Amino acid sequence: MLLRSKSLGLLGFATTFVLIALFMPKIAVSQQLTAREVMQKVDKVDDGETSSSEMTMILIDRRGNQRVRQMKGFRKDYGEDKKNISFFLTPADVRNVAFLSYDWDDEEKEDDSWLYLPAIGKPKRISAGNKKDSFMGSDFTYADMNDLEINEWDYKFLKDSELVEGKDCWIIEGVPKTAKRKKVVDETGYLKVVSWIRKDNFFVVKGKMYVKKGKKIKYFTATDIEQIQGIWTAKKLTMVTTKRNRKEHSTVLLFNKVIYNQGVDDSMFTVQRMERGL
Amino acid sequence: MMNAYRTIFPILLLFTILSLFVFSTTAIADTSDDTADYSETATDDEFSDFGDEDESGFGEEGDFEEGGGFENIEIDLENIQTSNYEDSPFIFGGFFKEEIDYSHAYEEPDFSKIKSTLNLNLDWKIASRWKAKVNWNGFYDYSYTYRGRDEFTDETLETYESESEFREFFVDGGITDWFRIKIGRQFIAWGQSESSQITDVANPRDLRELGMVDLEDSRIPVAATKLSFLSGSLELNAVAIHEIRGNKMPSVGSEFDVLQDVRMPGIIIEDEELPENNTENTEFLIRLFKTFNGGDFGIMWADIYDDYPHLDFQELAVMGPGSVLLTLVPEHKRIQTYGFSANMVSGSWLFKTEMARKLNVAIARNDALAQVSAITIPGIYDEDSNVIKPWSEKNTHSGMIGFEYSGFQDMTISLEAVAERIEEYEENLSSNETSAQAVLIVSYSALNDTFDAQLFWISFSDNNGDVYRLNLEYDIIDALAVSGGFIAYEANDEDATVYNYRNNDRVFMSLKYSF
Repeated sequence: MLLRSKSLGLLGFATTFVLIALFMPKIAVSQQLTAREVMQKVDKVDDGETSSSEMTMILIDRRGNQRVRQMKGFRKDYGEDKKNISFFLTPADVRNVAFLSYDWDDEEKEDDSWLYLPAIGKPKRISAGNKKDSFMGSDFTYADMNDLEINEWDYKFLKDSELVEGKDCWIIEGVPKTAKRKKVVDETGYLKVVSWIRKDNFFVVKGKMYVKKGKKIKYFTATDIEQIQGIWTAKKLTMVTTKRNRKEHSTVLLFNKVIYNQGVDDSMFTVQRMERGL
Repeated sequence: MMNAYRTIFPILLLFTILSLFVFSTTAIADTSDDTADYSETATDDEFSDFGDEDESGFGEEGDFEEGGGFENIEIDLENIQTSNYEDSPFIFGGFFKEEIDYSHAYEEPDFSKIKSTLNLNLDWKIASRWKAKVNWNGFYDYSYTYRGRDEFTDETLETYESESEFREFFVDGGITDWFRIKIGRQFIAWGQSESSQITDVANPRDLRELGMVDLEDSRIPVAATKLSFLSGSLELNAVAIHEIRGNKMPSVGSEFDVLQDVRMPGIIIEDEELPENNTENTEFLIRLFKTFNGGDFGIMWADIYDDYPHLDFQELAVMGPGSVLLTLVPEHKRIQTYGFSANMVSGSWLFKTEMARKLNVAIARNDALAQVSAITIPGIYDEDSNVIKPWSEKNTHSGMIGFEYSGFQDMTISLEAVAERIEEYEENLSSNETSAQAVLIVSYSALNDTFDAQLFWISFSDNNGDVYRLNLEYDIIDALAVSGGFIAYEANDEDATVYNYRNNDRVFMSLKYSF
């Protein structure tokens, strides 16, 4: 995700960070690191070789009506590459829908994504243009669930220090690089992303995304942050879509049964497994 | 009125797409922004209308306070109904659907469908690698009672009024990660085309209502054994189909009867004959499928019965001078198919193709009646040795090229061009040497996927007509969806494929409750 994809882990749901700078004086880190270097650390923080978790997705419309989806997801790192798969468990009309993606570190390689709809009976490949679309009706997009493409963005500090929930944060603004602007905006839908990053663990705790279509702003919040098996994990993610300061729709993701580094078989990340289901 | 569709439809298409933008929460003015020149970096103007506190043009309308978007939304977990999917190996579900179609183009416009459908599904997780599934589907169409059952042929009532069948009934599993077996009635979906059967030949299709049946509902399951061997991104499938089923065809006397022009005095068309379900008739298919970075590729081979029946000669009786009775019977011919399918992504584009060669296909001839006239000349006719040959055995090439474009947010435009060519073509064949069709599908989602719209446009080559369909669906709640739309058939040429259906236009709506 543009904010910090590991915080979603492409429905691998690993919300993780290692305290790389834990024992470093925070002011020293700020002085030494550029905004790009901070984002690189955000991108490189260990989130476990594998993860699995369950997620409850609550979709809330402007009138407060809620729709609930349950999913189970798995992620595995292959060096710098990542593979993720998620299965929808409820409600009935999306049961057994599956989403698989390969997130390649090599910028020259297009990420691979497939969506399996039981009614169609075969996995359907998704093109990059779909990535800015809503993921199953939520305020998160498919692009939100892919890893950060740092080299496609320019970053700068907006503020060197701001407290969020009592934690000192940098505020960093990212805009697509001029040369890649069309590609990035086409694929993500975002013109600009502002991130609040905790200095103690490089965890993105807040974000603001400027959506080109409809000129909307999406507000991202990561809360209920705790360490699981030594890995920082946000157990609640919120995305609120607004237009001209009016809330249009919200999505809350609640994570449960998060397990790291217990191994996930390679066969889990295949189109055949999408058909087979959990 | 029908002729007007060709002119009106492109306008309607454009209007509908624009309307969908309006219907969504995005203004049309915003869409023009999507085509803006990206050659420059973001300007202040681009952010001027966001209404954000930190940018220009902020705060005119909304009720957010500073940082209002970062609210911590409290979720009352006690009131959220979640699944107990891990507590039980059984998951039960299904849906109930009520459909109403109104055929406004009839001479006497009337309801053509008042159909109640019940679908019940049971998934059973037998063990970690094994599962079973049972899916039953049944419907009853009250419109035939409403209009008077005496008005319809027995075949029509049998085909359209009610149905009950197990759509899936299988056990699926394996003892290793690289081998899997699936036994039972199932769907086997291959290929890339959303509109045609080129390499996707394992399951017959429901063709009872041209253009009305969605892809997901059109496949007819078959009892089969499917073996899958997996190695990374490579998959080898070997399939044996034990249950020989054909396409579900429109019945005699129904509004979509494909044999309307053949049914005439002196010709009897018997009931369809399907090959028996025995070991000799088992169908075989093999596919090798590989995913790679940026695309998928598959090659296949099949030795199956053609799902589309052909009319074969059964009997010719001379009733008297100038009077004969020719009896034909729909049968299914054994054919072989080999081909490949592939897709490739590039940015917002998904390119796809399928090619296949089909061997020993039965192609209808147009000289059957001439043959009858020739051999029934008094003094020549010999009822023991003379037969009519209503079809010829030919090989065919089929191909599809197409693309999907998803550069517009929440919208996908899909276009497929499909063509078929008959090898060693002869003039006595009833089909053209080359036939083609184009299928355009525009799909749009809005309101966080609670609203979906789809436009279909099927255009047959050689002036064989067009079919247009618009379908709108709205999820009132997750479990309850309402949909509506229209379908129109247009053909000017009396010989056109669609001409006999030109009065079958419908408006339709449905209500579906999933559980």
